[in-house]
Amino acid sequence: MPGKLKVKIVAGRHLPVMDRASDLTDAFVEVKFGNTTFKTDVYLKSLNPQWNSEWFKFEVDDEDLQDEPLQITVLDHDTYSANDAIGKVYIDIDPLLYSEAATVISGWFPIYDTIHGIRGEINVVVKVDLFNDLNRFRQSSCGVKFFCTTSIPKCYRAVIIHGFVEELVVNEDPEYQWIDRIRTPRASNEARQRLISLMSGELQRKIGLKVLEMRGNAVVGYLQCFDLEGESGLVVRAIGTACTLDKLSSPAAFLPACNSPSKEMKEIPFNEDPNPNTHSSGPSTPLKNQTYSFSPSKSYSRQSSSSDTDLSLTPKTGMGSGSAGKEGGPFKALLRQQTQSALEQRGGSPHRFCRRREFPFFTLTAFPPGFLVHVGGVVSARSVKLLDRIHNPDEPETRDAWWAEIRQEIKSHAKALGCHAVVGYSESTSICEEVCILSASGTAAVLNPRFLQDGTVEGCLEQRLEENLPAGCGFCHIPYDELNMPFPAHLTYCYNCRKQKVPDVLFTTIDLPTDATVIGKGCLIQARLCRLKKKAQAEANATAISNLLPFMEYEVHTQLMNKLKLKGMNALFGLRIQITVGENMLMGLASATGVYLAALPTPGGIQIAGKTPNDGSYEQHISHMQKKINDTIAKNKELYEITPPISEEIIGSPIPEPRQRSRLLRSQSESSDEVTELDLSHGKKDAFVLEIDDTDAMEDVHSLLTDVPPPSGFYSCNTEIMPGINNWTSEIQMFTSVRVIRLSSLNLTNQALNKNFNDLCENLLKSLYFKLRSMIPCCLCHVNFTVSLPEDELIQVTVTAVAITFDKNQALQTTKIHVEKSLQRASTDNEELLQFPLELCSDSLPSHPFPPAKEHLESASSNSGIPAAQRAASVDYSSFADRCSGWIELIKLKAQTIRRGSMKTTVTVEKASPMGEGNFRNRSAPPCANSTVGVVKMTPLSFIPGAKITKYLGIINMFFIRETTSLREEGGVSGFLHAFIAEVFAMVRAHVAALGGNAVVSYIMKQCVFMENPNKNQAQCLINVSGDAVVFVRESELEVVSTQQPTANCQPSCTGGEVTT
Amino acid sequence: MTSELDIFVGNTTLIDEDVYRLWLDGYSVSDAVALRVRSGILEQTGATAAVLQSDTMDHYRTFHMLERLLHAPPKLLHQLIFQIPPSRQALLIERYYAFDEAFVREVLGKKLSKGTKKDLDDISTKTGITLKSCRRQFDNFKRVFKVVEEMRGSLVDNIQQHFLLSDRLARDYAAIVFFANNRFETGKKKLQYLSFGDFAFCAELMIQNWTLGAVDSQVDDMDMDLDKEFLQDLKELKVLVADKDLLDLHKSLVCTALRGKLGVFSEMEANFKNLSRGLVNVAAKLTHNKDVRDLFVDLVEKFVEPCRSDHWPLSDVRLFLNQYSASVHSLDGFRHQALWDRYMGTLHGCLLRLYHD
Repeated sequence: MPGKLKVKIVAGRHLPVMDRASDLTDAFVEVKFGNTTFKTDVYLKSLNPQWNSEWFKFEVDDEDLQDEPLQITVLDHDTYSANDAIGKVYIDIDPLLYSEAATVISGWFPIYDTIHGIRGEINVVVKVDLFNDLNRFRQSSCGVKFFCTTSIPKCYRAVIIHGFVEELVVNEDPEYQWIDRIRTPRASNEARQRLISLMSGELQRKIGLKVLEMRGNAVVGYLQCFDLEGESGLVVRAIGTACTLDKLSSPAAFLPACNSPSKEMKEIPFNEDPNPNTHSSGPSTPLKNQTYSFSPSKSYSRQSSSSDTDLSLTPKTGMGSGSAGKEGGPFKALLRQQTQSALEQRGGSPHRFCRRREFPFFTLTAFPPGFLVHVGGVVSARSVKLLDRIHNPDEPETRDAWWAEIRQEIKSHAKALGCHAVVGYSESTSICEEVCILSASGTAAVLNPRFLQDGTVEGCLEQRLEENLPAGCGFCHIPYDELNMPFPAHLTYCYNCRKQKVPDVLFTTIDLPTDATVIGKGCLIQARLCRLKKKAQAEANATAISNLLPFMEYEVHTQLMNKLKLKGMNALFGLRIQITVGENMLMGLASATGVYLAALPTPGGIQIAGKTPNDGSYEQHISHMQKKINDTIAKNKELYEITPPISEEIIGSPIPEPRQRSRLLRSQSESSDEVTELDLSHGKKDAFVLEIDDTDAMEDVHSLLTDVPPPSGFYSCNTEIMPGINNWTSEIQMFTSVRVIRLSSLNLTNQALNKNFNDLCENLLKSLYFKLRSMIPCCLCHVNFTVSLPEDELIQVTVTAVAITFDKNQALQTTKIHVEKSLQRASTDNEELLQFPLELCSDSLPSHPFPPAKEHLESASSNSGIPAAQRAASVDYSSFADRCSGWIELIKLKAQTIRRGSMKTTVTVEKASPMGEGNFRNRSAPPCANSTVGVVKMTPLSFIPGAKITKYLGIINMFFIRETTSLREEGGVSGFLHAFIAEVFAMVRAHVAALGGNAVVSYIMKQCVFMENPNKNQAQCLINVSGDAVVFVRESELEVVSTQQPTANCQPSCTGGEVTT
Repeated sequence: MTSELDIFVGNTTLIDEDVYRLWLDGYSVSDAVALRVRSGILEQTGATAAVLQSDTMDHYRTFHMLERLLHAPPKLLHQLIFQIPPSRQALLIERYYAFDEAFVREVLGKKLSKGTKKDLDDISTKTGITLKSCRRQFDNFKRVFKVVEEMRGSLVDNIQQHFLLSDRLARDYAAIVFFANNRFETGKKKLQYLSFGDFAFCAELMIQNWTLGAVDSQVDDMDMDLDKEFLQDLKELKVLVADKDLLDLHKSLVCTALRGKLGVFSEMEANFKNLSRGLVNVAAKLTHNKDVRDLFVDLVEKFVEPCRSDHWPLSDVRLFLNQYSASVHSLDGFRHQALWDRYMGTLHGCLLRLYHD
């Protein structure tokens, strides 16, 4: 009996009037945990009762402590009839279960009723006494910390990053049980809320167990979602990254304790090789030699010989790029093999971890310095499934198998890109009736194996410094073998270091590494797409969806690429592609933040070409369009301050002569044999060509031009920080905006649909800019769009983001200063900021960057031989010509496995890119005061500008249902949802405040399911939110407090901002 | 494509002062949008009318939800649903309880009942203030009245404590409540020249001197009800005009003191008895509720108008009233000096305030 939960009910206030006669209420409270219930006395005739109860004590297993929520029900006593419920409060006591977090939950909680909303508040005090439990077979995982934040939380240091943890639990949805026919909506809603709360607790406990098995002590980037599968059940699933974290304030005390247990499962590569130093010199020296042997002239030679670029999908071409590339290739492969083997080894050693370790995935989007070596590009997989009833909830094998399948696919895609790991990994579903699309995506990357194994960081730091010499470009360098490219990419020598190859465009799902050198500012780029689909049942429906998916993916990427070029940028970060399925349509929405990476080549312009050039007026039209596009590109470059350093080869001619281009194009479309004549590589001299041969293409061009840039003073991005802005002031405003439009059912065409959807998103953005105009200059960060199709003709878009003000005067900064600063930061920053003591790095320069693992070398070749199918599945979106035909062939080739009750299709998309040492996450901003007492800040970011997070209090994970049968009276659907979302915010804030916190970071609204039935005057909404409750201290206050180590605190605040570009 | 649902919810509740004013003024969403368009906001921000419409709707919805809390301002401070900085909360409350001069003049002194509420249509037409705004203002008056009636302690303090209003606004509400409670007639044509400020000034003096609270601070409604005993006693003042000797003596005392100091001396001398009779009779009649209600009518009729028709300058009125009040202390046969001071002290201030064009 390892825990004692103590609860005290203090008082209530603002209770609703329950007795019409007296206009008062006779309230009492039931406190329930597990199967035990206590009651307070009835406090007669008051709307502000003072119960001041005794301590109610529950003696429970810690397993229950983790699973069960504390349930507090406020009732109105009625002598003659049944007592009326006023409302409930569910309190997740998990934060009390680990020592460093909250010690007491105490405060005012809104009393919530699923029918009436918030009805007054109740003051509750909750404590937990935990007894130490030495039972090794325990089922609980008390003490494992959970973080929603997708980076190593501030004030912690990552000792080991163990890797992927996942779990799912299933149950019947109470809403679909037979009993639901005879119980009230309130009872049904409460049953659902309680069940999901229970399932969340169970899930978290199970994940915690896995983390303990891995000898970790925390889960970072914890993402929990639920799938409402309707008749077939309710799935709650979660993924995260297991880590061993070390509190920064007491590193010395913690390290040994943590290392000793981890010894027994120590990674094999290290056991083999107890002295890393001996190996370090081997690989690292060749690397150096190699890099220096790349002569600038050679790297340019490739660009000048344009004809050698082959656009076909066979990767064998393009080899004439010189010996440098050839030399680089094998070496790269070696590196890859080594790190990969390290990973696999780890997975293989203790067999019970096998299942987990087989996926080298990381839900993190930002990393400790030195962690990321290279980035390969985006990998994604989707699968269409038919839902069937989950027969045995205790063995959710089907759902597990589905996800395992997808993850396997992701893994192999990453392999095809020469990467052994996937970072920025996430999973999602879209369900319509009995069809479910499962999606997973991430960024293939090469990681520094050091972090995955042990607390020793010297190696990576050494490597980081080494690779870092050409500042901020290492991660851009391609991880795959140039000789054996998984898809045709257009490689050039890095514009920064001139030594390694880089792709022309880079797509990733992670945040921009803090040390990346960026020119100008970034911007939000969205691709939006609708596709009509015939209504169908079951398998026919699934087949139809499967068939549409590849086209959707392809078009989304074309749009992204076009828009990126239109912005004059060459890389996307934080890419998130959402495909939503509805009854009669599919929607695709991709959001990302475009930036200009200094290391990548200048993007070419967009070239418009017509099919029938003989028609004079048509030509004129084309040239008019061309001019418009060129103007837009020029304007965007100015707007986002993209002024790359000018050198001869960059200037070139951004857009070739139109006539010439169109001729070339025609020839290409006439006969693919002539392709070799073409020069369509996407280097600086090449244009991206849009062929206008039908109305669709016209549509594309128009939609490109209709995206209105934000008004001056506004920037937007969907990453944590805005590249190019680094002087945040402290004003933040988090918001959620929801829009639902009804499509006129008449003449629904793809084009009309696209336009509607596009307008919806654009108008929504415009509204946001207008509403937040008082904050100018400001930036919308972490803009997160979610699309759903609640009904036949309804499209719902939900946006959550945070607006942060910045100081305009300091906003301009040249790249040079930047680079200098980041370099300086890298070398001088204190350990608190970097999370890794820097002294170590100077001591340990000679340590080895790569673990040897010789036995795996032989498998190098077999591994680099990528299965043809996978190679086919990856598509290079950067090359335009032949893309269509290539793609369609691919689709034809693609095997669709239709099995009984399940069907799947997979679409993979990869973008070339490397990833450097992703040091992340220093985004403190200039100090600013003005914190009001009692205010709880909420932000989707992992930091608070101008403040320092001093304590993490635990995860907030809340699920609410709200229902009404008087929709009109509550102000219609808008009034209903507006009130509900405001209530959800209020309940989150109240819980955070009760934990003693003053902010929620990494806040996310994971689900907002809205259903209405205006005819019946009814509506229902389900919302799931999560985040990390924290305590923050304003930097201005901090400086006063901590004068004994002034530099430690000042430094981050000053440099933190700059690094963000 | 029609928008079914369109909402924006900030962690910190966004309050647009301009939209708040339009809402308080009772404009419909479409009128408000039209007014905002006219203000040139579209040009300033580059927004479209649709954006403005959506923004206005959002704010209106927010205000609608806040309204319930504004009815009991302390609730606004303690509620958890809307996170609003304290300065904004104060602004919301202050503006919500602010009222229009034109409106308050219409209802001042009227019973805050359903009957009056029915007349709001007419008031709206007459004043050009939207009916919605009239209703809000009327309901505010009534709500404040309901809360503070039968309450102990200072009226202004009570209002401030329960409605968190600024001192200035709380004083105004005290006057409104006081007038409504005593039902002073303010709507007569001859009173039209008086502003709300004039009445509020008088109300404050009367609350300070003529109510129960002036003598005993431990009674319910101490600041709202006039001190009945005092009103009864005022009958005693009648002797000042009923006793011819006393009246003559009073007149001669005043005339002697003011001779040569008053521009309108002869008019004063001629009118003294009428004016004195008027002022004393007003006092003597205050035992009847009906006459209490007509207090301001009587004062204007019996004093302000005669003086005005003789073109007394304000300085002369002041001199006269000073002397008129003070001279009574020299009347040996008059025994109610304290009563006279309590009455005349207040009336003196009121009359000076009421004496203007």
